[in-house]
Amino acid sequence: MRRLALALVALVVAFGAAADARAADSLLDKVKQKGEMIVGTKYDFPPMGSINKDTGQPEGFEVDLANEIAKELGVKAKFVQALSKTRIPLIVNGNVDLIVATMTHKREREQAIDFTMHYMITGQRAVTRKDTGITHVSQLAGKQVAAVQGGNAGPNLLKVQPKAVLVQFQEQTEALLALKQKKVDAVVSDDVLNQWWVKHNPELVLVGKLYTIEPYGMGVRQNDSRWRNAINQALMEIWDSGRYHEIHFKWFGQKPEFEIPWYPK
Amino acid sequence: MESFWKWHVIPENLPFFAGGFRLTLTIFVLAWVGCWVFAVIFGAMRHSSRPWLRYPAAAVVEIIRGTPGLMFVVWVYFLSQPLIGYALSPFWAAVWALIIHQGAYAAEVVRAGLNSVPRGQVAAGYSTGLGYVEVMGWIVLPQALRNMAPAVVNRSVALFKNTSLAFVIGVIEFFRAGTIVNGRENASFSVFTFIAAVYFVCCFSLSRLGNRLGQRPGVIEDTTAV
Amino acid sequence: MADAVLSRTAAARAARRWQWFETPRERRAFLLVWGGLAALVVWYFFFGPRAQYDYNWRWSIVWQYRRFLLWGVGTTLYIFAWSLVFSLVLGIFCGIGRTTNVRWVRALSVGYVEIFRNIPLLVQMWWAYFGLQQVVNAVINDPLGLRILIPSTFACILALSLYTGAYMGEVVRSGIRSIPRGQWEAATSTGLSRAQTWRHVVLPQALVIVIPPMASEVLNIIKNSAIAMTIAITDLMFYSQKIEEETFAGFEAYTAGTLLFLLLTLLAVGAIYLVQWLLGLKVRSAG
Repeated sequence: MRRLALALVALVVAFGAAADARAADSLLDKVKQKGEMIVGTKYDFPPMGSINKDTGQPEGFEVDLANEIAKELGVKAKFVQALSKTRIPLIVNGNVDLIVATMTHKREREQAIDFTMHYMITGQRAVTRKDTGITHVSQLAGKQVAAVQGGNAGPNLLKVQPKAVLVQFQEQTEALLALKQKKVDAVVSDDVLNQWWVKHNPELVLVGKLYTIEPYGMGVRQNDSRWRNAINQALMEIWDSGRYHEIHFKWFGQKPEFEIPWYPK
Repeated sequence: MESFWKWHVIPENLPFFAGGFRLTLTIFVLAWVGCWVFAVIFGAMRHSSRPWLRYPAAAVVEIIRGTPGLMFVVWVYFLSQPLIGYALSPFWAAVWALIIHQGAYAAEVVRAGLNSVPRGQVAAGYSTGLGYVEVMGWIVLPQALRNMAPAVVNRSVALFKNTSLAFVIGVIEFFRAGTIVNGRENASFSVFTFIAAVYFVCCFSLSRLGNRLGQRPGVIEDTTAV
Repeated sequence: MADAVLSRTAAARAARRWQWFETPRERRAFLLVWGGLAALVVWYFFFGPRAQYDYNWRWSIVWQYRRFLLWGVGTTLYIFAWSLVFSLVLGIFCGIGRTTNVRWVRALSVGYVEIFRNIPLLVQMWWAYFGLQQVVNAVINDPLGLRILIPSTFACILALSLYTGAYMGEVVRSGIRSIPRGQWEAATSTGLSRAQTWRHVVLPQALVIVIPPMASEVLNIIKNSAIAMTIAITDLMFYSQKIEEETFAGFEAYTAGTLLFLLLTLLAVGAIYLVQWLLGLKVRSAG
């Protein structure tokens, strides 16, 4: 009986000692101390983030960008999959340090997380098969349209075409599969992915024009200015030194059509 | 016409599938160990004659058994930070979720196993002067373990099948490897038939072993579909 | 002697039954273990490392988004109802098939049970949704120019029924086997044919015996239907996640979902008790 009591007291004391060592400080210090930064990227979104067929490792524009940022900070980047619906909880709960996952900087998302500067600007559009004959968003009324759960694409489509029927999947690959299997008539997604799909699948075609503007921002923890500043400054260095242009050319075959905001030291 | 008979996809992507299968096996082994530790603790608590051990354990086990496995996996991954102050990686969140969820079912197996030993033998053991440890070690456990064996195998098969649930939080285990390959190649029929066949071979061989152990009287039945 | 007589009275029995602790040592052990655990939890959450994590609890979210939760419950109940019907039918036929003397029927039933019990439900659902569609496309749609689609609820109900039917078949089989062989022989000796024996002697008894384990299989249908979320079905699990997406209140959303699942299982258990009571049977709890 006494031994049990002593064991419990020892446990409580150990807990207390461990607790004091974890005060609330910036992610920047923690990342530098660990020497590694956990980044959430997409695994289903070529060319931004996808899994390489042969190596099984993530690759893509965002993966390269995250690796460059890690190099700037002097740490290594470890990648974790972030789905559209899990990327914000991952940051809020602290499972990852940085989200680079085609996340649009929306004002309502600022309630939960903070955003860095925009690192790419794109838009949203629908993709369909050639045999459906759909050429404009207005023709999507009453049709089944696939989107990914948690992303922007579904709600944005409903704003321009409230009569479309949304079918929500977990990942982009499933939405594309449903389109190819004729289960749905269109898929709505960000244009970087649409262009990739159309390039690699000759039976698909883009529908009309972009109907939204999507500026991508990286997601960081709320109220952690030092960490966010570090990421912003790393991004500026990458832009300034031309590495951004190299990565963009590697994945998109052209120069970027926008500029990352830059300010001097 | 688009063919569905695209079996060439499998050999082409075999290393990727193999990596996923390795991860499935790792999750399975880790979760198996933790699950039975959990099961022994809670099963023994439920079997105990002291109500202050029995009722809390029963409450915990019944609540966990009433939750879907998928929800548990999501719970543990997203709510580990608010709940215990430490953020788990997807792999460990999946392992812990499986330990707790399957552990609750396994606890029932342990309890049934302990119950299957007639109380008369326990009483006889005490009456001949044996202590608690001897009674458990020489009388109860040998019989209980022999009676539990097929149900243990059944539960292990169920655990192996439930490792596929880890895919919702991004663990690239065998099933997720299949969906990634399928997304690239659009060969749903071949890929999913292949995955089903591999799972079938593994689980069938395990359950054959369980059948062989189950051909004895006194064995407890456990056929729950989770 | 007088004590022995007195102890038989109801009052003495009642006084003895609700003794929580047999010795003072036991009471001390209880207080130490559970009291210590409770104190640890309280300290950890309010004074220790977790206290600094300020999570503002927003339980009103659950009431605000009750419509989502209701839709989710509706879809889950729809899937549950159809899967229950099909899996019961499948299970009973499979159970009979496994205990019959006809060789090929038995082989077919054994094959069915082994295949569908050894493949995860997730794989079965995805196969039914994506794999089957590809086959249908290649074989029926493209050559004939049709457009037969496999809706996701159909795929889900198909997979769930086949999966649960296999387990129910095993349960029914054990129930049938528990009927003594003497009854078979007696039935034959009074001139009943095999079919009549099944219908009037064996099945009524077997199905009544297996109600408790069948009840747990029925509950498993509800729990396994959560997997339907992965093939774009908007069930309770999907809506819990949707609430979490819109409000970022993860804990509250998932707790609400979990509690609703528990409520559904309780309702199912209650319905099974009702069935037992209506049939005039002694009400037994699920295994």
